[in-house]
Amino acid sequence: MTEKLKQTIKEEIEKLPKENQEVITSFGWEKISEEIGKKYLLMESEINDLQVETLLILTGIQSLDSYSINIENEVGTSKEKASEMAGEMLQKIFIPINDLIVENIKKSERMKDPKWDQNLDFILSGGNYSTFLDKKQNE
Amino acid sequence: MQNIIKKLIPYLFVLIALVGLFGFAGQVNAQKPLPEEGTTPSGGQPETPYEKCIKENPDNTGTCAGREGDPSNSGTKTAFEQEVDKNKCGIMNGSIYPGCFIQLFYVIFYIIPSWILWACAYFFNVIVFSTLSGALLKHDFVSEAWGVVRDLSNIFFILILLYIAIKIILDLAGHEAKKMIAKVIIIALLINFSMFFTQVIIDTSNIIALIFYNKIEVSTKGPNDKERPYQKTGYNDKDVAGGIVNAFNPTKLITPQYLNQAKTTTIDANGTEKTVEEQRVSPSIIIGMLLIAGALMFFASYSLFVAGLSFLGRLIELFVLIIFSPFAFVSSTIPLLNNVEYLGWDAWFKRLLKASFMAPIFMFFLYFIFMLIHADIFKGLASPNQTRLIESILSIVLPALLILILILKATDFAKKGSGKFGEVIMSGAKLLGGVALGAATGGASMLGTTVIGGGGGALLGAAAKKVGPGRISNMLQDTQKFVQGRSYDVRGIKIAGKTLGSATGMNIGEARKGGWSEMKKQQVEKRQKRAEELEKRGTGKEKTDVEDKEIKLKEATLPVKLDLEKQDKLIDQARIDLNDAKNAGNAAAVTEAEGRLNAAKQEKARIRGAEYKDPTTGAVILSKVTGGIADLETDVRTAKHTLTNKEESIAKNYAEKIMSTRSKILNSVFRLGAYSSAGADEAARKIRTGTKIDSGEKPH
Repeated sequence: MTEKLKQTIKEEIEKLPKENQEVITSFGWEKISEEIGKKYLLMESEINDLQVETLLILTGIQSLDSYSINIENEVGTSKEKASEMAGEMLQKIFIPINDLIVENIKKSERMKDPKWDQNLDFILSGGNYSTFLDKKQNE
Repeated sequence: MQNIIKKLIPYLFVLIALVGLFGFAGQVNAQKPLPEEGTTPSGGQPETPYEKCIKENPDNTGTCAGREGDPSNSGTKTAFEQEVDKNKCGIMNGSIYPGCFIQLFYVIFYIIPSWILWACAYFFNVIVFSTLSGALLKHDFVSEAWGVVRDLSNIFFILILLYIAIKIILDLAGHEAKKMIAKVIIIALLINFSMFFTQVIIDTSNIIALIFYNKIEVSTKGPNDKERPYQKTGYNDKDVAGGIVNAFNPTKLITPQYLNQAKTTTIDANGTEKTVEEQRVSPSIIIGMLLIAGALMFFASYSLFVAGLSFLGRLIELFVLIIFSPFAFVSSTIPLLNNVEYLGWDAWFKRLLKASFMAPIFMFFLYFIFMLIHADIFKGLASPNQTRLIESILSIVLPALLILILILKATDFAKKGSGKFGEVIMSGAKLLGGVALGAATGGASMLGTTVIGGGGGALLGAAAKKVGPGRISNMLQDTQKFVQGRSYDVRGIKIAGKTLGSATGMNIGEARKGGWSEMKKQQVEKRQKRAEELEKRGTGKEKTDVEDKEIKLKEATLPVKLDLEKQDKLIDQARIDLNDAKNAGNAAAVTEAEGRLNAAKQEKARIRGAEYKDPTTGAVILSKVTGGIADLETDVRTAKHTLTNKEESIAKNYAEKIMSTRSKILNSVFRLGAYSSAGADEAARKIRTGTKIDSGEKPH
């Protein structure tokens, strides 16, 4: 990973909510994405591109729907390999990070005194823990 | 169960407190009147020897001349009045300036404000105590007016029963109508006790307020350490306002002590301080002192008047609330009247609690203010031996501002706080009321659920939850399911195995299936489907746009699909070769494989019309082609994004609409009460969160 990319990642992550920042920074997704990139025989510059695409998803700039296409176009892989890589990244990076964030929200003070409408939103959304996060942040 | 107990514990304590107040403790009254001595019937000022003499010798007033209090006797004039007299107004025996100016200021900023303050203080004392004593609220005219409203409300019951009958006949409200019947019967009994219930709440608040009122220690001791006499009114009030004003008595500003200070000025003569004592107080100082005293008196008048006025407002509001209590009770029977502004049950009950409990909250603050007065926190500001004029002024102005602002804030807090307090009380009342009414309705439903109707279901559910696990709870829950599951539709009643319609041969339509729960569920699903329809209708253009873009992309991709697949294969193969060459340490093979990989990537980019940069230099080799596959992919993504935004916006607007009070009222009116407000809220939330419809369909 280049120094410039490291700096960019740091800057983008700092823009996220504190809970997300802590999880993303401590998770070590850069290492995992590098390993996945190597597994798919990507060159160093291509791994950097893959990490940039991953960062765009983590920071919410890009939607997960377009992740596979972006890998194909920006990293320069075949459609099939891009799809496989996206699936693996989802399993090894995005889902665990999401689970950790949810876990942190559950443990945090915010969950201890939720509002009635947050509870209701949580139930109706089918268990979306961000309902606790959003309301508090909007206050 | 534990939660219920936790919730009920505070209310149990309140109940214990109320039992204590009403049951065993002696009646709480205002403090007994202080002995009255030397007061005049009208003033509240001490009776002077001159006035006493005039009373005793009404025909021979000449004998009283020269006694203390004789207006013609300049010896009775205050030090300040004597100082003012030194500045006479006139052309021959006085001066325009400063004489006339001082006289004018004296009238405007001393005589008038002190009279206004005196009036406001009396107003405050009288109105506060009179509203707390509760005697005014028990006047005959209140019960007479209440009787009239009660009789009118009783007529309403006939109309309500007619209304329910029509709804049942026309099948306009299902079991909701029968729910009303149960309520009507209960309320028709309770309406006769509406004044009693209302006054229980008011008396409770007054008793709490009187506890604080009686604890307030009023002191009106002046500089001579004597209590200023206060003439009580017929309401037996005490001089609370006098006690407040005494703490910062603005007339202290113009006592001989202050005037002597004002005559003394310290000047700086060539670096040494020199004290000069004048014969007269400088006119500018007199005017300044008058202005400060006047301002304080005006502010004190305003504060006391505002506080008094809010108590007057409380009195008027309580009059109205008592008188209209029967109507509020009636309104609780039908949803349409329940929401009537001011007189509907919800609004009425809220206002009753708010108006009632404003008094104890204010009294608590007043008690706190008196604690502050007794603490005399600014005592150290003016030292008794070497007090300068400015210190003396500040020692009056600062406590005055502190106390008067506190009074204004207390009024404000009392008004706001009573509203919040009312909400807490109301939630408790609902909790206890839910148990009581649910159990009552549950018992009735066990005796004849088919008569009472499904409306008790919700109450039964609430009661079952509150009662907790156990035989009674199970029984309530079973009854609830039974009650809520039935439509109570007369058309569904079977006579000898036939429905009413088939038995009579009349086409009266099909009986409605299910009860209130089913109706609510259907209402929620209907709203979700409606939201879906609106989204479909409102996003037609965006959807067409997405479809158009996707078609274009497909059309552009199809001719080059094989070429793209070919390049993909080349890319994968080149990667494998590159890796093998790296592992083998064959530099030439690495370069060759890298070249092939980059060539395939470049070719793929060219086919897609995408930008391609040199992997080593970063220079743009191929620019993005307008109308190329890459460009079209971006278009599709943008169009999809626009569509999602529009859908979310429509759903949000519709959810807000159905949650609005206006929509709820209109729907209740048009559906003749067969509309669930909670159902509307649930639907709105489901629409916002994109929840699936219970039947399995997804709204959007």
